Amino acid sequence: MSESNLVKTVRLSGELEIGRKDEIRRALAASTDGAPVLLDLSDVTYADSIALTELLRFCAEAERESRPVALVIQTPQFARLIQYAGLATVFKVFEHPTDALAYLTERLRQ
Amino acid sequence: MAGILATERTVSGRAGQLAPLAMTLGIMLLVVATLIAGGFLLRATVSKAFNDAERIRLARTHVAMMFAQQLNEETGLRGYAVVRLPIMLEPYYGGRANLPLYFRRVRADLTKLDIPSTLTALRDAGRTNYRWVHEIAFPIIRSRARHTTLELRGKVYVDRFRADTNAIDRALAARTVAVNTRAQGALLWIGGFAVAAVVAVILAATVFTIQQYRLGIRLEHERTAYETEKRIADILQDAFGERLLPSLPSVGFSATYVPATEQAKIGGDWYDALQLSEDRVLVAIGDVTGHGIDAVVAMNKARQLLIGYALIDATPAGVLERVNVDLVRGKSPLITAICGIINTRTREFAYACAGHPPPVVVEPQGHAKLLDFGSLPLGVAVKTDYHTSRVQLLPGAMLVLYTDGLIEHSRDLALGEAALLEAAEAVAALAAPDPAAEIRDRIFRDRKVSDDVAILTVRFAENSAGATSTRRIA
Amino acid sequence: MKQQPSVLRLRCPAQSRFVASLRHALASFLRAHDFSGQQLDDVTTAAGEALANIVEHAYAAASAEVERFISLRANVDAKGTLALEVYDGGKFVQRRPVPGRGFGLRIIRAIAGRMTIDTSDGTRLRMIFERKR
Repeated sequence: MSESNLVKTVRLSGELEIGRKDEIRRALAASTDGAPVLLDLSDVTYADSIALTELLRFCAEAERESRPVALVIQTPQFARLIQYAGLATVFKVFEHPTDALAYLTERLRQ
Repeated sequence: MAGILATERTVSGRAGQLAPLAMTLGIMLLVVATLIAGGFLLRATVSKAFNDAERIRLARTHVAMMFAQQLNEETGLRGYAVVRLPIMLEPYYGGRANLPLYFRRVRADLTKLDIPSTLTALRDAGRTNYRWVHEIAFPIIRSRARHTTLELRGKVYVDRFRADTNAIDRALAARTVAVNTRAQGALLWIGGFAVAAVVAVILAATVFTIQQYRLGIRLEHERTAYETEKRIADILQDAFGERLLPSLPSVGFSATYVPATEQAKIGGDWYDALQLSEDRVLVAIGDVTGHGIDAVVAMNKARQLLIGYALIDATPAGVLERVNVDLVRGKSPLITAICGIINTRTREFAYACAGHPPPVVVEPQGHAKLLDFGSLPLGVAVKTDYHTSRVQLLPGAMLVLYTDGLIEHSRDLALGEAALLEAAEAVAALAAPDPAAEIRDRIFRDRKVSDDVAILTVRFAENSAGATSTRRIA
Repeated sequence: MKQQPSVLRLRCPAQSRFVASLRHALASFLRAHDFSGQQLDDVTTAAGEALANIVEHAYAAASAEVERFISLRANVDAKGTLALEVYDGGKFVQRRPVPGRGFGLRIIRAIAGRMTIDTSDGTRLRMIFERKR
């Protein structure tokens, strides 16, 4: 799953919605090791609050383990969903994977 | 022998300077070329890696899109199975239209990237979708029944399709890692070369600077050495310039030394006349091959050795043999010499010759002849045999020892010898007070001195009224 | 294949696997009535949240014999006003927002300026949207 040797990348695509809750949970659970995580959600076409909850759970866990998480979101609907849910300050969202990687490697040095 | 001020100095300057300069320039040019090439290579590597990563990324997006079409088909079918309205089938028809498009795109991407396992998975996904459409979708769409079991089987197909696309995605992710690792490796190499190039430049510049510094010091040394040489020459000239000749009642000595060039004051030729004991006088003459301070040093050494051994060895041959051994061992230049011992009471002249021109004897009656000569010069081989010749001289006879400068003024040795004999006879007849100078003047009246000349004459008194010795004239 | 009813009426079991189907149908319906861009996304999202909310919570306290269904109704009038209604037969439970849960209603409120919840008979969630053009 990794694209860089330091950062672990998890890709989710398609519709992240209630009907695929288990699938989403499995995909996120499979990525727990010590590395920072880049959640590549650039190919996500739709997301709902159930997916947000799963993502939030994942990020909270990572926070407890002091692992930084960066999200790559390119779909307007998804970005707005996070705004509507009032979670804009909770997730570290980037439009481009390179920016997300830069943020994570910066956090690594600290 | 030429004097030491005509010494040639090895000019180490010119040739020695060009080589390191050329080398340094060469290295720097090479380094600049390497850096430029490295720059291009760096750019090419980075853009290739970026392009590769982009291509893989795009492939992964296409794979995700393809799976999304399968899910769309499933969403549409599932909705329609429950709400039998055509509007529910729109996602299904959307998927049916787009899945082949993405399928072909993915196939093109994977073929270009050349990962065979992914093409196998793709083919399986294609087959699985086909079966899902025909075995699951068509029956459900055509018939109004619920087909719960079909739906369950449909899930199995969709799960399999998902497994295939996940496998392809994992392979692409692995390829990205490989691409990145390769790019990092290439960048490290390029970086390494750049660093090495910079280090090489610094080294070359340092070496060049050191070289120039050393050269400067060497030139300074040589300048100092030359001045020292000149000082030594002047000192030696003062030291050995005075050649006192023995003053004896029955034997008269005269000598002269003519250097080849005006500047040279002493050279490799020498003569000695030394009283060893009441009856015995050492006469010696010698000629060192070579020039400069080395010749003078060698001459001096030979001279000292000869005198030293003459004091302990009775025979001229023995003396020369001992001197020869020392000179060979000391790696001396070749020296021709005559060592002679005159018994002033018996007028016997015993001598040994080491490759030197033959002594001349002028009989009291006035006839000049050459004596025996031969053997190897001194300093050739340790086991050289020398031979003592004994000549009985009569009162009024004159002996002339000389160096080859006196007879080699013309190319014809025979002519030179003839001229010498003629001059010797004439001078003996004249009974001149300084026969050596007279002989010199006669020989070189019309001729040029091309090599150093030393002349030593020994005259036996006709009666016991005494004979005069003449100091040397330089 | 596209049909253009002025009213969309859908009903299916209140299971998570049907939510996407309903959402897609609504989106098709809205596109057919010239809804597009951000508004289309927002309305679809609001509907999706409402449907998910029903699936997750509506029948939590219900007994086994109650039919667990979702009903979606969408209507666009000549002026381009969309009336969207999501109906279920369960009891609406107003959940206090617990940290980490319950974003659905917050999202709906953020999107739908006019929203009413009628709990007299089951739970009826109504949203009104003016088509933007």
